[in-house]
Amino acid sequence: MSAFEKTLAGVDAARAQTWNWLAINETTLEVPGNPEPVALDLPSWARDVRLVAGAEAQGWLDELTSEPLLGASTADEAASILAYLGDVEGEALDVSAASLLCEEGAWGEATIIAAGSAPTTGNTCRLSLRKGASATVDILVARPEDAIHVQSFGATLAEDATLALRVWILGAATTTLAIACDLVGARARFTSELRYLGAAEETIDITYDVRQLGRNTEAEIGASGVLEGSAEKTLRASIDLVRGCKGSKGSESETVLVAGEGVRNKTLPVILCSEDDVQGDHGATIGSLSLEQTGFLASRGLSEADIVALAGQAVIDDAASALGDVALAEIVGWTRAARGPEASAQAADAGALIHGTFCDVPGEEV
Amino acid sequence: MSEASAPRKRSEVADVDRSLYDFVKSEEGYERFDDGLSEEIVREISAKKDEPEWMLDLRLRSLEIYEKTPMPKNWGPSIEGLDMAHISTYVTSGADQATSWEDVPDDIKDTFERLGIPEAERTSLAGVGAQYDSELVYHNMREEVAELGVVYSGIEEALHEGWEDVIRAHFMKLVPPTDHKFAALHGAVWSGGSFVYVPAGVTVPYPLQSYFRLNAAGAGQFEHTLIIVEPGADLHFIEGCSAPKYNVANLHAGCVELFVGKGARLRYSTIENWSKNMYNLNTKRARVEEDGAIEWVSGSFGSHVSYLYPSSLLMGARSSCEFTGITFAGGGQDLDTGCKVHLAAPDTRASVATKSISKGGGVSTFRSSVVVTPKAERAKVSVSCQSLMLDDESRSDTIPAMDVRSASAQVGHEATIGRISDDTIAYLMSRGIGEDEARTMVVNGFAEPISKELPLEYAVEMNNLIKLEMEGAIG
Repeated sequence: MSAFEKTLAGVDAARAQTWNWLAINETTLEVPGNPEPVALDLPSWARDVRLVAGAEAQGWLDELTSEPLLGASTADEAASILAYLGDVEGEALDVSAASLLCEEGAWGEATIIAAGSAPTTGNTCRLSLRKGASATVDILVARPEDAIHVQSFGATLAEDATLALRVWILGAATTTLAIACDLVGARARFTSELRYLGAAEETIDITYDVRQLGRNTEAEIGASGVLEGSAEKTLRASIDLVRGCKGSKGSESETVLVAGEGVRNKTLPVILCSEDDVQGDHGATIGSLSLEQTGFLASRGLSEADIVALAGQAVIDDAASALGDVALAEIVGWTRAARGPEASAQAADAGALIHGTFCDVPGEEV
Repeated sequence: MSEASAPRKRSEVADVDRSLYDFVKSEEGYERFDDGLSEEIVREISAKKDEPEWMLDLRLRSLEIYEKTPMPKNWGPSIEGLDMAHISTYVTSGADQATSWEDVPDDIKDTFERLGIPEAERTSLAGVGAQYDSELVYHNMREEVAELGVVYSGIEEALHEGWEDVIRAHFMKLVPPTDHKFAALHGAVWSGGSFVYVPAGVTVPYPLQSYFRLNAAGAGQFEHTLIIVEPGADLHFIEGCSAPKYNVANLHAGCVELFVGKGARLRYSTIENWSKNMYNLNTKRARVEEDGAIEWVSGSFGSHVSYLYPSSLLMGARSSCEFTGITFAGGGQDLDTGCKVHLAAPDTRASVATKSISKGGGVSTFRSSVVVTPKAERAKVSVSCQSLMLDDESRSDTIPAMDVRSASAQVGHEATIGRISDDTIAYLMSRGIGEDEARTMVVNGFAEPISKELPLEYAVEMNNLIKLEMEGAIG
């Protein structure tokens, strides 16, 4: 029997779909089957959070989650959830769920680190932000080149709530990421920064589905990354400016550096609009370095390969700077395995510079 | 009510005054095939045209494909109101095709005169083809253009006048019946349309125009346009279409196949103004060879439902595509328009600029695909899409897809959706311009990059359409 026993259809699906021959509408993923499904027990506020991972994928994630992490922030006490995935000795699967409720005016944070060696990891993160609440969520995927990570994320924001979502995808054979966010209350604000690296035969598949329902809401999605080798990346980003969301603004932008002969980059940036008093925009720049850019940098002694390496290192250093307090060892370890000791030392420096933490570079005397 | 809490003002726009297009002529004495689709009907159409065997085979194969092919369930506007069992695929007045307007039956001539076609032919065109329901009723070309070796005729005539081999080599080769359900339908029941052949090195000094008028209620129009522009040649082709409004569905499933040779240029302009009971499921595609250029100028104003995405296959090195389009969706309209570009050779270039306007509950969707294959080294693509919402009953969506597989390509994309800014209107009003006029000016300015690409008389027609759409009180 194959190591992969279950096929999940529609893991990431665009809400507004297009020509099927483009093979961009959704993705299919093979994952290990689950011989002992469990019933996921969640509080009602978490169950009400909309998710867009696709029914089969979400069902697979849910039935593998036996002990969901729950956090609740109040105005007096902030909750912080930290979920590490993949670090389970001898297990093929490591799936978890993290749910965070931020009560009125509260602040909370959630951090999802998928970095261990388990072949398949998965996580569902649910957030509910009440009036005036704010939260920061960081997701890091730094998996071995033969590993799979399936991530589902959903958030509901009430009036004046603010959510900042940061995602770094450094590596994995396949990463799927389905992000849903509903800006229900007036002036709710969602920002997301996604940075990724794709190399070899890696596949990165991302869906954003943001609905702006309240008045004067704001959504800003930024994505940038470097694709090398024969990496394949798909980004579907939908912003839905729903009737009634007057005064709202939605924006998507993407920059992709294509740096491999076998790279395939697919982008579907969608804006749906049924309200006139809004602003929606998206922009994408996809391509190689221009002759002007390479010429200028060559005059400074940098080859094209140097420039691509620098761009990739910038993504790693950014992750190390942001997550240095909780995941520097994982980032440095991944970088050493994927890009060598020099790159990992630099990542360690980037983390130490910001956080003052000191990290041993695995395999080296420090 | 305080000024701060007062609702924002917006245009309350009236329905389009379609009297220019919305007139009906009697069908008395016309030949009309039974509604619905069957092998018998397909054979009858073929027999009527005395076609070669291979064309009948193509029709029958297409019918088979049509019956087996489903409509996509996951995208596109609904076509539930279209019932093929109530569509006649062939209607003709029985009039012979004329080369002089004097020989065209009076009621049909009157139709085209009201649409301004003979006048346009006299003043600014190199040739005109006029189709009424399923058949061409008029086709003519200036003598000096014919002397250049240019061929402009109906497809059926060309098949019988020495062009059969050329037509067989090109007909439904770019848009095969397997392309989608309505391409298959077209293959089965096509009738009328134009064949244009421009010899190598010839520049046609004035545009050629085909005008398609669908007069019959509950009928379909399935014209086929096949244009071959040989290496180094240059042509501007204009296509216009309209129909009166009925309370039953009409169908347009035409097909346009354009072959642009090495170093040749073809500009294909369309002002589509079908009535708002029309299902416009049209397919247009161009294949462009080395150093060739295709330029699309497309204005979509009419129809109840549209699926329209002119596509460009850039197969030759340094070939290029420019697509300039505008879509104006009013009440009762669901217009899904855009374009497809496939770059498959080094140093190819594509530039897409579209505008869309939604008002009165209309739905406008911009849908596009840009595919850059690994062969398209150093390809450059820019896509720009701007949408204007005139009220909060309407809808405007942009769904652009990009698939980049070339490491040396550069692709840029930008899109915006918004409303007319209050500051702009306030500024214009401070200069003594009324609010109504100010809004119309803004919309005309929004559409200006498209209208400037059209010959003057068509730009005027487009601006008039916009003006009509914008007429009305300010709420």
